[in-house]
Amino acid sequence: MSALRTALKKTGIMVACHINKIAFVSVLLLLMFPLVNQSAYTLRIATVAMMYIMIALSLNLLTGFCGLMSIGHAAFWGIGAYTAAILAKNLGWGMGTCLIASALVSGFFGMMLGLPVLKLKGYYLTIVTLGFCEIIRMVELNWMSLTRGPLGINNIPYPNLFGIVLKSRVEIYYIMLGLMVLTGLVVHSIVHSRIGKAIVAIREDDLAASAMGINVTLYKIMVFIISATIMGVAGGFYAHYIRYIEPSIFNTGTSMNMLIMAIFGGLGSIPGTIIGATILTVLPETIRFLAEYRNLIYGFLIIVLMLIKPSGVLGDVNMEYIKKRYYASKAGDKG
Amino acid sequence: MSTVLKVNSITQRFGGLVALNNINMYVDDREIVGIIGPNGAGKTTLFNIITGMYEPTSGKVELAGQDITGKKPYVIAAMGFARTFQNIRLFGKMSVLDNVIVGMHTRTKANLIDAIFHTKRKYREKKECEEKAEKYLELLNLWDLRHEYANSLPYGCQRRLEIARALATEPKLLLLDEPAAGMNDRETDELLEIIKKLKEMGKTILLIEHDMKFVMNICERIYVLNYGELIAEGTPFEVRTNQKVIDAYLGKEE
Ligand SMILES: Nc1ncnc2c1ncn2[C@@H]1O[C@H](COP(=O)(O)OP(=O)(O)OP(=O)(O)O)[C@@H](O)[C@H]1O
Ligand SMILES: [Mg+2]
Repeated sequence: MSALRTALKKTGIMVACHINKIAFVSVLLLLMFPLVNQSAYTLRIATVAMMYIMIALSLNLLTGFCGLMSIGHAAFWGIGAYTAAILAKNLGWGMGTCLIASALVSGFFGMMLGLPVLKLKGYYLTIVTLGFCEIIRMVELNWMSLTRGPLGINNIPYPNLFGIVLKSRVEIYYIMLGLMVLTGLVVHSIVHSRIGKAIVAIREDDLAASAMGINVTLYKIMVFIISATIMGVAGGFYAHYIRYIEPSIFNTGTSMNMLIMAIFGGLGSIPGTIIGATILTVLPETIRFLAEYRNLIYGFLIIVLMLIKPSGVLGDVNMEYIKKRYYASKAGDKG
Repeated sequence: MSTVLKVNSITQRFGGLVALNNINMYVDDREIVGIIGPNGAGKTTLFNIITGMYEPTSGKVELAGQDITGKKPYVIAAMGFARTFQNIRLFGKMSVLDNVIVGMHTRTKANLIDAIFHTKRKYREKKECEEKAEKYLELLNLWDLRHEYANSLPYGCQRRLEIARALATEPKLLLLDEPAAGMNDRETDELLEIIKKLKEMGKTILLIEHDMKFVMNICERIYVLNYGELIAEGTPFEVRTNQKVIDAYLGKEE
């Protein structure tokens, strides 16, 4: 038993020390994946999984790193999706400009929601996001001239990048891979910066953070906007990818599932987020043959994990610190 | 000598309770000043007012001649007041080193653009911060523990880490709320040595402390609070021999 534990610990240290290389190799493998496997089914799962990784990263930045919980984030996803769908279909915009517009519009809504709410302490944000999600869904349902209400928007044009129409699954897979890697890099950079440390300090103790000169409200709003922006881009992609959207996709249930991915993988851990979103997207797909039992297993898995490791797969695991401790102890041995 | 902190007729009421009544005090540059008084005297409340966490019912707080009453805590921290907390408030799930680096927030500038595009400024600041933080940790005898989680530290070390973090803000005045509370004799002596070192470095300190030996040993001047009233002030000798103080505080078995 203890031998197993030391072996596990050693592996953990190895992984932590080489996490950048592991990430790099994973991206390379993902780049080569379509060369090996072109089945529509697997490519679809992979594409959707990568989109959920992007979404879970956005939620983890907000909840895991800054300690703010939103249970209505699907609203921002929806705002991004509708923005892209309307612009692409009605105005014929290309995918690049659509995604930028999705980012801006979602980010703007994030700011409008965050400004009044994030000044308040406690659970206000969580409750307000719930209401916000419902309001946005109502708007999507009732603004017939723009969203076609419950009919949804269908026949959204294929992604159009710089005038080239991308119809193939492989091309769409690569777009999503690009977006996911970009999101990963951005979130990673923020978390490991001066601003990231301020954000985590706010999560740990906002009063102490303000005593250290950190403008708590400003940073909370900033994180909320960034998170909404990422959701917007994911939504813009989704509209182009699925080519049919309707309001019920973007409800609080979806928001919950997204949040569960971040919590399952481990709040405050980027590798954890990736693992969590992957498992919770791929697993339900691979056990589809179990029919009704599928949801049972999904729920069971979540409960079991929360019982044996409440912080999620990699919650509480800070690879940076593990690595630094390891190198410091090695330097200590020599010196 | 210039005055770093000036408290002008501060009164703080909580409903019917007068926590502080018409308090006047000052701290000059490079002074080490103590605040003593029995439990509930209003010492922490005074710190909360000075650092902007409470807005006083009436009165004024000045930082180096500037009125800071009613300003937000983060603004006051940036202007030069740093504090520690009586009930330790560290960033538990951050490393000891990162706790100190967070203290440098107002002394650094890297913004979102620097973070995302990994600019030269980001790397330069990061390196400078880490080097400085390690210096503070050496000063507070915490260097060996720099990569540990703050909440995994023994109690005495957590208290010292709070001081290191506050020092990292490069304050004009360091406010310590019962820095020796809960420490054993050995830890208290270690802390005393550290504060003596800070004094030699020319730091200005205002500290609340129950440990009489500690206060008498290190402070040049002492203010005594009792039930929200300032009942005495002066050198340790003057305070020790003041009849009001003896009655209110020293006379009781602590
Ligand atoms: N936010 C608040 N609301 C209401 N009453 C308060 C508040 N803060 C402090 N008080 C009251 O003000 C009085 C002074 O409290 P304070 O914490 O300043 O005492 P202290 O001198 O620091 O005591 P101790 O030595 O126990 O730390 C107490 O009676 C306390 O209950
Ligand atoms: Mg107190």
